[in-house]
Amino acid sequence: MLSLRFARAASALRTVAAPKPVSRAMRFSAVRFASTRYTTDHEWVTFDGNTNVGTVGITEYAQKALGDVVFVELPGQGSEVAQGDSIGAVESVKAASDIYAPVSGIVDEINEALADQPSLLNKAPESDGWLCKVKLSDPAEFEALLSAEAYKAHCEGE
Amino acid sequence: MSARPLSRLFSNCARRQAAFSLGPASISIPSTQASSSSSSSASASSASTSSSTPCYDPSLTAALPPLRYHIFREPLPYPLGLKLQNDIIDVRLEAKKRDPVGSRGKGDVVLLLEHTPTYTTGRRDNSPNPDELHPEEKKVQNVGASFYITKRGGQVTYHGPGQLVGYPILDLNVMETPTRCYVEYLQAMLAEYAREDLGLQNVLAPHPDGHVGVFASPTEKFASIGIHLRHRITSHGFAMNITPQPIPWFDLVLACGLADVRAISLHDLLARAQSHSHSQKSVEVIPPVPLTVRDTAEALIPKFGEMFNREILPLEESTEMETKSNLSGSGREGEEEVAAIRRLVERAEEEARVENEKNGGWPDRPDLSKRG
Repeated sequence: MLSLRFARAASALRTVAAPKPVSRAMRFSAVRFASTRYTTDHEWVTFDGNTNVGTVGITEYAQKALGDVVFVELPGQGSEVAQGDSIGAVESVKAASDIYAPVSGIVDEINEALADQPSLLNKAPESDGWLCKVKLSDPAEFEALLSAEAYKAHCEGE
Repeated sequence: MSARPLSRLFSNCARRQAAFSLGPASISIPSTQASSSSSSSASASSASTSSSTPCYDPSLTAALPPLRYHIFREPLPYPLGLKLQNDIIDVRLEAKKRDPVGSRGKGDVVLLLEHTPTYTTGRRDNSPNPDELHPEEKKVQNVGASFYITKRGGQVTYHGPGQLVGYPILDLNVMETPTRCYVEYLQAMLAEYAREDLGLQNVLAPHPDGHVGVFASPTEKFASIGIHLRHRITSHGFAMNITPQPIPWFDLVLACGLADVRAISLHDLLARAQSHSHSQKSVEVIPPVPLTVRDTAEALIPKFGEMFNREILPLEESTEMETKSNLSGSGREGEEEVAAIRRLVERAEEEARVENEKNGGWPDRPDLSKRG
């Protein structure tokens, strides 16, 4: 009986769009491993439940649409950001696209490599070309982002 | 004007791009057919080679509402134009939130205008020491123009009377147009105008070294592009020198970060072509009436429609939908969005008129007497 209840609650956590209150035990098991979610602005966040830090970047889809990246503007280390805030931009072939904070928190670290090698964003947008790391103020925001399947559907549907 | 098939224009884009390596040459466009491959092709895309995959499938946007355009009567002071664009985008983002499906493409508008004399630069110059002037700004202190750092791509440039500025405010997501393709389309459209409408030879777009813009030779540039995107809605756009009036202002700065390139105007190029053909014939050639900024703006309107496969109408014109404005739901909301944009544009025209009157107009040429 107990295990059935556990399974139902866990699946509710994964598929529901808005965060619902779940017992602490359920939540802990769901976020034990780092997982990646996406936004409709073509950004990804990989969240580590242990450190509460989310690594942020742009997706392959976004990189392909931009062209050769020549410049990346990033938020200041230590700055506080709210979900949806414009936190910088990616410039390519004369077009500067704003990037947005997918989650709220404090900017822990920025990817210094991008200053000398903006092309990392084209070559490895979902790994070495990460933009910044944010210490989340509200992990529930992460849970409300798009899953990989939902993001893929968004790309195909728009 | 020749009715040029869209597909020919785009395949030219792809070939030229491949030759000059403007960007990753292949791109998978999400469409209903390619749905299964678009997100799994990550490793394939980095090994892109010269591919003639067209940037754009016109049939995808045939169903969108008409594009709107407005040609300004009054030269705009730069900050007014900036505020107008941002206000329009705010209206559009609100409308999108309220009705994501019904608002699709309704607020796509092209603004065509001149500015009063202004220097601007892009966001790469955005973290200056507040006590120090930007090096290019130092060069133009007191010449009669202001200097603004903006959020667009690109570097230092000049805007002023005699130059056509275009601000297409388009939702690239709805139009399913990747950013880099949009830049290429603008570039191709301006080049086509110079080649086909004006008959100019040797138009280069992009520059042989890959620099974005439209050039008359490797050392002469007459049109520039610089875009800003907020949630995939475009602002800023392009600028093309029609008369020689902007040139002395350009000569005071290092424009676009290109040390060997000088600005030139369509008038200069037409005069050059004219005298060249004159010297080859013994017949007296009557010079044509000089091209105005307005002439060019009007010539570009149908090209926008053709480029994006949309009907294009003046912003002021009401469509049938709007006159039946007692429709409920998304029909009326969309027309409210267009009406809101119309009001913002009219307000900007009026504010520009008032400000220009207050300032007694603007200088014809740079004042070189007071520079530091």
